[in-house]
Amino acid sequence: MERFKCIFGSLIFNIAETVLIFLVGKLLNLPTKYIIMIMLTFIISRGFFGKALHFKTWYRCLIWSCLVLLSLFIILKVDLVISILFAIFSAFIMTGKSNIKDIYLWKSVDMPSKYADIEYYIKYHSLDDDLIEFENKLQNKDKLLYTLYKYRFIEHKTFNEISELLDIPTNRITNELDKIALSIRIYCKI
Amino acid sequence: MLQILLGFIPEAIYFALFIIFTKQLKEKRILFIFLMIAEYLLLKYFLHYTVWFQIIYTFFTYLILKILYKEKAQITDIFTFILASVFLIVASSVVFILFNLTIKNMLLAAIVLRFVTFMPLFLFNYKLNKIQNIYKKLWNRNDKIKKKMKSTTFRCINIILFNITFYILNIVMLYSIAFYEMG
Repeated sequence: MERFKCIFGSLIFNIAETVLIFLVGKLLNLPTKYIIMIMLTFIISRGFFGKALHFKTWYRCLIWSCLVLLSLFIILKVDLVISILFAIFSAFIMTGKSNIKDIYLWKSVDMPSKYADIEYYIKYHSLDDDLIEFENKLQNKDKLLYTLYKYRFIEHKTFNEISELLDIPTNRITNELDKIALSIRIYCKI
Repeated sequence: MLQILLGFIPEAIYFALFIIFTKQLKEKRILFIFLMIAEYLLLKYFLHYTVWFQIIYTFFTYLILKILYKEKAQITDIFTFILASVFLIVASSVVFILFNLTIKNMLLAAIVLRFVTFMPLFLFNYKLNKIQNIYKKLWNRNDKIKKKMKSTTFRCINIILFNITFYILNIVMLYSIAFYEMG
């Protein structure tokens, strides 16, 4: 029953929001077919890109959705094609796909990587018993952690590449790598 | 020729420097500036006085950044570029309106405009990096950290600014055409 209430409430809200946005377009004296075209482009593109970002409160969602669509309707006054392209771009921005990657991980020339000691150790101790033992234990315990270890410390892949290969966000990669780094430092006494 | 030397080339350099200072780019600066100028001149040649010029210039700039700096180029650079455009629109509108009302010397207005656009750029070049830091802090959603503004709200503001800027640009361009035709 609770679930039904929730779905019903959300459905009513979405219909009301769509009607309100449509009325905003009509207030600007825009042709109905163009208003619907822009709204559909925005909604479909957002669904197509996936990982849509949602507001946590209904009123924020209502206000900001109206304002974003209003700005697209204003562009419609300039050109239909531009408005459609901007609707697609806006939809893309409102998804997790437009997240900034590697933002905290840009390598400065003057600043060594925080894993530099581990990279150095692995490079010159590849046949060390402790290291081999650690790798085996990690592989048996957690496949994902081992894959991260292999990608970052042996194959020297970037966070972006790892994120794309494993389909996990870069902040989670950092957390997991920090765990691995702590373990290897203790285990191999780096 | 005067338009190229006093208008197009300085404008392209202004955009390039704005991005360089904001992103604190240390490498391939000359190449980036050169490509920005080449792109600007080519687009001006093919798309004179249309809003498409600014749209293509914005997205091509991102493309150049992506090619030259790879992972350092972010989608937020498009919005940084828009901020540069907003400042340029405001500065040129103020300067040209003032000169049109008083001295009526447009050549002098163009020279003054270059000072008005480049002076703050050089005076506050180290502060421009703060723009990048704001984007770094607020762009990605992270509910674990308490932020001044929600990521979704921040993105909406950027989208609205982006869309409205191009609308204003279109109006400014229409006025410019009317102005040139009158002159």
